[in-house]
Amino acid sequence: MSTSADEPGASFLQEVREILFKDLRLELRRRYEIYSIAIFALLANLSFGFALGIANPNVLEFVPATLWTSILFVNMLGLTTVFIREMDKGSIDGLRLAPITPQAILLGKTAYTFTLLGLGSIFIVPSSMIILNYSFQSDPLLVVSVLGLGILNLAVIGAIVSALAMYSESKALIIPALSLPLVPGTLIPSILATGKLVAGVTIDGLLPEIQFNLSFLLLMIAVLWVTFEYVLND
Amino acid sequence: MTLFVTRLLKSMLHRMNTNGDVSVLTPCIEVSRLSKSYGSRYGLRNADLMVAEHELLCLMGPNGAGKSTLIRILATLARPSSGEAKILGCDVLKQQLHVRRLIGVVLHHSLLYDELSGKENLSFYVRLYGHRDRDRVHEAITEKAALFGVEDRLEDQVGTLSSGLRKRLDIVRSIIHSPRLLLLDEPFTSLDPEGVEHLENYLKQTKDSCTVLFSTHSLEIAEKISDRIATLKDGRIAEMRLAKGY
Repeated sequence: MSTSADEPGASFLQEVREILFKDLRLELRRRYEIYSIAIFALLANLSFGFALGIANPNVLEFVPATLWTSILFVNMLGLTTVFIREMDKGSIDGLRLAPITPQAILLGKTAYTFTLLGLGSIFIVPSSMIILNYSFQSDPLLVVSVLGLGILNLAVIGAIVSALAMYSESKALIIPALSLPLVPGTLIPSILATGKLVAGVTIDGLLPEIQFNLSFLLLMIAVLWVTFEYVLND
Repeated sequence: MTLFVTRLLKSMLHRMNTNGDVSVLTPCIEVSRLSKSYGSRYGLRNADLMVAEHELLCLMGPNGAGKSTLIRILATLARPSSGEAKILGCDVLKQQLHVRRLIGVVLHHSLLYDELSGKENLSFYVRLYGHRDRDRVHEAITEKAALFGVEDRLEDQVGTLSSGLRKRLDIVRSIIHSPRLLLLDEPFTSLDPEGVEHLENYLKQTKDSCTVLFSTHSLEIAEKISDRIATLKDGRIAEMRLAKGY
């Protein structure tokens, strides 16, 4: 089994898949991240439930904000370490030494963050619905798509922040500081869209938020695509 | 002095090439006036180096002399401040993906994931090189692991292994794709005598197909297995000589 410089190597999608599966396998071995997401989701929703009062007739007004606050903090607390963990363990050099494009590393890590945050949302959303006693009136497929798009944006932001913070000495400061200007770009339309989903609005009524979130996603990906090579190299 | 040796080697290469005998000596590593600065301090300062294909060159020198910096630049892990470095004709800055396909690298720290088994780690890395045939991958892993006596520890989680066994597995990782150049930064550190013997034997055997640049603090090992020894001091190659065992 030998390798020469001119051999094609793995395809881009294969590279992305290898990194995603490797990270998921690592996660399954560790498990604490999944457990911490579940526990945090429960804790956050219980806190919101007690703070707002379950019998509060205006609770529906706060539901979108509480839901996305939980999702945001799960992302920031657990998943923005996706590159930092590799950096701390030194294994980032293994990825940098592999004959794969930086973009494949980025996409693999983003896919991992999205998968984990998506799995986390399986705890977060139902527990929020049960504790705050509400349901989505819109089409379930539309609900999943809109929430999924917002979660994907947060996953991309998580990957960006983690990549930018990995060489920093003061990661604890850098992570929230970098998140601050990026998060509102997707959080605000996602909260507005969620409010409409609870009220039972159809896709036509949600188009502005969906378009905004899609544009935000494309912009983030485009910026990362161009700059990530420089981010990854010291 | 270093520049003189490099030019001498270059002229030898040129003469051999013009005689048509390119198989004897062709350059694998060409380093020209390479510098790397960290603020006001230089990790490497105008270093010149030429390593022929199938040569085994040892880097020696005190801590901070620039051995690791040179290896990290050649491995595409660090950008030089100035100068040029080529591996088998590929520029380490401009053709990084090409270079990465050609090299195997061992650093001070392990690049293996503690939570995965040795086999899972090696499979992951070898698949990044595009090798996907499950049977061939398994065969290659077992074969290479046997060279370092770790074939029966492949199913163990890396985090449960001793540092010596982890180092052996890390060396296996670096050779799993049969690279044409091995860059080894103090590979003998934390190896037991058996591990040292495995590595010495491997390096001697691999010369037919691979070039090796390694750093060590052990003069005994350097003299025994390498062809030439380069001594770095203050970021410069202060001395270049043939090893006693050559």
